[in-house]
Parts: sequence; C-alpha cells; structure tokens
Amino acid sequence: MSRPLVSGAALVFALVGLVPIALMLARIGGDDMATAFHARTGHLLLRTLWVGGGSALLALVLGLPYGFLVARTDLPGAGFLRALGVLPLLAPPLVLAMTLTVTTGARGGFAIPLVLGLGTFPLVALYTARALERIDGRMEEAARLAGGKRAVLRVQLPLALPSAATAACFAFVLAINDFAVPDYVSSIGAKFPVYADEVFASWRSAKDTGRAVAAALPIVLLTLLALVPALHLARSTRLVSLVGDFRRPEPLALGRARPIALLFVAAVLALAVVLPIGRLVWEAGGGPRGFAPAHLRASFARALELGRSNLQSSLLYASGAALLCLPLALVLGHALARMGRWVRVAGMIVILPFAVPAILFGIGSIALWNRPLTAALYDSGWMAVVLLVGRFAPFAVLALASAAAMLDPRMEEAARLAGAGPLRRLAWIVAPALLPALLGAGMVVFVLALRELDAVILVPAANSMVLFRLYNAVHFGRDDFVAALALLVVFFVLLPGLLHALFGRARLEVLP
Amino acid sequence: MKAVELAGVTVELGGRRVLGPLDLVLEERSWTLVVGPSGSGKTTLLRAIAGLVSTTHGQIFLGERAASSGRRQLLPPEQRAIGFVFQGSGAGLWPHLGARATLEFVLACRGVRRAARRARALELLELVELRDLAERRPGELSGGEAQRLALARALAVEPRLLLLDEPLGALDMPLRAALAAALAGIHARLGPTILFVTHDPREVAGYAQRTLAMRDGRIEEAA
Repeated sequence: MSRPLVSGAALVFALVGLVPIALMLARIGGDDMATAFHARTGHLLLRTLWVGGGSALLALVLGLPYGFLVARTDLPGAGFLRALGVLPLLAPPLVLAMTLTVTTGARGGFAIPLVLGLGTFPLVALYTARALERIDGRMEEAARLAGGKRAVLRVQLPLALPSAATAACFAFVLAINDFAVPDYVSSIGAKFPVYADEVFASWRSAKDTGRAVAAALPIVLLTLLALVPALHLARSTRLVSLVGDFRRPEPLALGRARPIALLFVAAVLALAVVLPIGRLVWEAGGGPRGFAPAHLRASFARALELGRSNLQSSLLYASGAALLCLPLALVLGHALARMGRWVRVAGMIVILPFAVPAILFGIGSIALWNRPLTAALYDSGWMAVVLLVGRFAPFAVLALASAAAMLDPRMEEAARLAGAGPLRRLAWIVAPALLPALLGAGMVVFVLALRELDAVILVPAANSMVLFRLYNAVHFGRDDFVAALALLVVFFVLLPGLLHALFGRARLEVLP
Repeated sequence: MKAVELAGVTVELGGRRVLGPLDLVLEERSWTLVVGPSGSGKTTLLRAIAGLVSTTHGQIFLGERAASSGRRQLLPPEQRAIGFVFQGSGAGLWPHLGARATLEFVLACRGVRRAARRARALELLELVELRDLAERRPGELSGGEAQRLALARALAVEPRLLLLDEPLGALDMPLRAALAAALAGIHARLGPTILFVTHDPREVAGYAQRTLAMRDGRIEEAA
C-alpha cells in the first residue's frame, strides 16, 4: 500500500477523530481532577456500572440463544426472524426508551438496562450467528457421530461464546456511554443520573470543559477496560474455525424443542420490536383518544410537513458521513489488516473516537472547530458531517480491516507481480473484493449517523436534525406528531437494509 | 546466460531461518524442478525470487540486475518480469474479474494499449484453451480451468522467469498430464525460464532438465 496514501488517510482520521480527544484531555486542569475523585463520582460510577452490566447481561441472555436459533437451526422463517431481530439495534435508543417505558411501566434504574439491553441484544445475536456459521460442517458431523446433538452443542458453545462475549462487551460500552436514554428515563420518573448526564450537565451549566472531561475520565477508563478484551477476543476468534475447504454446516433439527424455541424468539421480538413499533403506531393513530386510520394518515402528513427539513438535513448529513468514511476505511482498514505486530495498538487508537462518551467527543470537536478560522465550517451543516465521520469512522475502518484480513494475499501479490501500483491494486483488486464490506460499512455508518444524538447535540447543526427535533418534542409533550416522527425516523434508519434486501445480491459484511 | 542467480541467500521469518544459505544459478530458457517435503522451503524460495518475501542475507540477480541485497529490495516485485502461479485452489485469482478481464487487467498494468488488450487476452486464453470461457469468473471455472487461467495470467506478464508453485497439485491425473503438456508447449514456444515446485516429479517427467531436492531450507542435491 502506498505510504503517502495511508499517511494522508491517517492524518484525516487523526484530525476528525483523535485531535478532539487530545484537545479535551489537554483542557483538564489540576483543580478539575478533584471532580474525578469526588464522592458523587463514586455514586455515578456505581450507577453507570449497573446500567452497563445490566444491559450487557440482558443482551447476552437474549442474544446468545437468539443468534443460535436463527442461524443454525431449522426454526421456521429463521431468515426473516433473523432480519427482524436486528431492528432494535437500528432504532434510535431514544425511540425505544419512549415506547418501552410507557408500555412496560419500567422506570429509573430498572428501565435503563431494560431499554439498552433490548436495544443491544441483536449485537450479541449477530456475533453469535456469525461465529456459529463459521464452524465447519465436518466438525459438527464428527461431534454428532461421537455423541449426538448434545455433543454438537458442546462443540458449538465454546466456539460461539468468545464472539458472544465480545458483543456483550460492545453492548456494555454502548450502554455506559449512552446519554439520551438515562436522560429521558430521568425526565419521566425517578431520577437516575449516570456519567453521560453529568458530563452534559457540567458542560451545559458552566461550559466548563475541564470539569466535564475530568468527570468523565472514569467512564473513559471503563470503556477502554471493556474494549481491550473485546478487541482481543474479536481478533483471536475471528477465523478460529475456518479451514481452507470450508463446508457449510447443515441446520440442526430442533425436534420437540421447536415450539419452545419459537416461543422464545416470538417473546423477544414482541418485547423488542412489536411493542415499541406497535405503541408508536397506536399513538400516531390517536392513542388514548381512539385509534383511527384517518388519524394515522393525518399524523404522518403533519410529521412530514413539520419535520421534512429536519429529515432532509439528517439524511444529508448521514449520507455525507457514510460516503466520506468509505475511502478512509478502505485505505486504513486495508493498512490495518496488513500491519504486523503493532496491529493491536493501532486498533485501540482507531477505536478511541468511539470509546470516549459521545457527549465528550462532541465537546472535543467544539473545542477544535469553534474558532475564528473555522467559524464558517462550525456554523454550517458540514460540522455535523465532520463530527459524524470522526465518531463513526472507527466502525468502518475496523469492519474493513476485518474483511481485508480475510482476503487471499495472493490476489494482491499477483496484481503486484503484474505491475499494478498501490493505487491500482486498491481500486481494481482490493476495493472490488471488499465491496460487500464497503457497502456494509457504509450502511452501518449511515444508520449510526442518522440515529445519533449524543455527539451532535451541542453543535449548531443539531438544531436542523431530526433526532434533536424528536428529543425536544418528547421532552415538551407527547402527541401523535412525536409518534409519527419517530416512526419516520425508524423507517429511514431501516431503508438501506430494506433496499438491500429487495435489490441487493451480495451478502453484506457489517461486523468489525 | 544466467537467468537467475542466488548467492548466499537466507530468509528468516519470525526470527527463524526458513531458507538458506542458498547458492543457485538457473540458466535462461531452462526448466528446473524443485522437490522436497512440506516445510522444506520450496515456496519460500519462489517467493524470495519474486520479491514477495524479504531476504535476510545474500544477493539475488535477475539476469545482470541485482534484485535484492541483504534486506534491501533493489527491484520491486512488479519490475521483475516474473510470472507466478500460486499454490492451492483458487491460486489467488481475482474473484470479481472474468477470465478475459483478468488478463486485460494485467495487460493494462504492463502498459498495453486499450485497443490491443482484448486481442492479446483472447490469444492467451486460446493458448491455455479457455477461449470459450472468456467471460467466466474464477468461481464458475473447474479446478483445471482455474489453474489454466492462473497460468495465462502469469504468461500475460511476458515473463522472463515463470515460477510455478505446485500448479498441478489440485488436479486429477488426466488433467495434470494435459496441463503439463500444455506447459511444455508454451515453454517451447515462448521460452521462459521455469522453476517448477512439485511434490510429484513424475507429473512433468521428460520436460525438466534439472531437479533440485530441498530439505530444511537448503538444496540437498541437484540432479
């Protein structure tokens, strides 16, 4: 790979993703550090641990069997159920919080892990499914001959567990860094402040960056502590069961366990998908005043009329972020995959923009870009795009690195021997071979950017974004407009996946 | 005339010596077999000559030009005019390109003008008897067809040196004989120097002038 190309991409990545973090840390003063060791910080830490641990545990308990059932068994409609099960991960957490709290009656410290656990269980399911699908069919057949289905499960479980644990670590990180859900839950019932709230409050009340950053240091540490084993597990288990002449395993017959399995999957989907979407549809159609299709149509018309510009802005920013992330991810992901012994360190650096709390990343970006020289950028919509690229490029880079690591190196060697230079190899050999991963990464960044609230909430461009509109609306009243707007957001978040399901041919690779 | 010369070449991977020290001369237009057990360094020898793995000590000359000296690579792989057929199924073929597109890509890399590429690609496909399958991608080819495409790709470079890493290993006996005969024909017509790694020297018996037996990274005997 061309050194200037990699250096250029690394420089851009550093500017949009790493410099904001460095600036934040540089602003911590000696007095600010006292905040990190304050007694209140200890309480926040415990609460945050409860939220993260509870969410990760729920995600693991639901996601592991769900992933197994939809990926490796003869469960009826497994493919459809698998796709449907991804929805809670894609829906903005705020939308899940809005609906699950009101339908289940959960409040305070119980509601947050419930919402975030249900929102992240698909992550565990996806990782589990991927791990199980990479087990060679012959390994299972050998186990079956040796000891029947029980032996097959005993072979599968140890191979799937590290992947499931990796995803649970990611779920933990997502949960402890979430701001919108604890903020919303605290606004409708007993307060349950966590770190992300504290950082936001410190910044909002006194624009005190140093204090806000110092307050967040323990959570940064906690995030890194969770990500180190996650990345280690992800790397060490990625290809554990792949062999050269891989044979896809046959689905396992559930037999008499099929009704119980169906019941479990249906219950999970009812709670995580049907309940939230159903509640929004019901509210948009009139809610307690009586559901009517005409009312539903009127609500959507109103949401489209009032929220059109917000939706347009958000779609534009999310598309821009996805497009800009792709060349960065292609160059850096490929370089990362071909790196030698420093690959783990590089992986940790790449994930930093995602490892710090979103609110904090937003504050760092403000510190970097809110200057006279870059005022025009800061005040424009481009600021949102830059921020979203910085925040979500790590996903794209790691996903591409993971895919590039599986590329047969002989393909590039053959091109090199043919006389193809670095750019030509990248454009003609690497990029086409990584197309499913590129499309997948682009889709993931688009979805994450569209549902992002925490990182962009503090910049001027947020005022024009749909999640901010929803955030404000839901805090100042709950009506059919809010429900219809939330449904529109969910629809647009799902749109790329739907389009791909309808017209796409290749299976996308989206997991880092 | 010497086509390749290795002088005191060693290769270390992960701190362990996997090749050499090795001295070897291959004459132009010669056909040399390399045999030896798994892990004896046959593939590493080919990769070192191609510049795909860095040498630790010694020098490699291609013709009169020094290609590497110690750890320094003096001639990058793409400038060595080497054709390489990789070991194993798939042989590093590009899955997104059809047979003709594969060859056209290589020809484009070699600076062949667009107008001439198609005809030349078809000529090469004719040579390896894949003319009728020109639009097929590697995934749509049988093992033997894929291997012949890999050979055509290596020939598209117009190589002075052809490195073949068990090119017949994945094929059944009749196909092996057919491809070996095709290779011999190509050698007679185009005359590249051939270094041919194999587990089974019988598969190209009669074509090679020389056999090198390798063990533990060294040439144990030459016949």
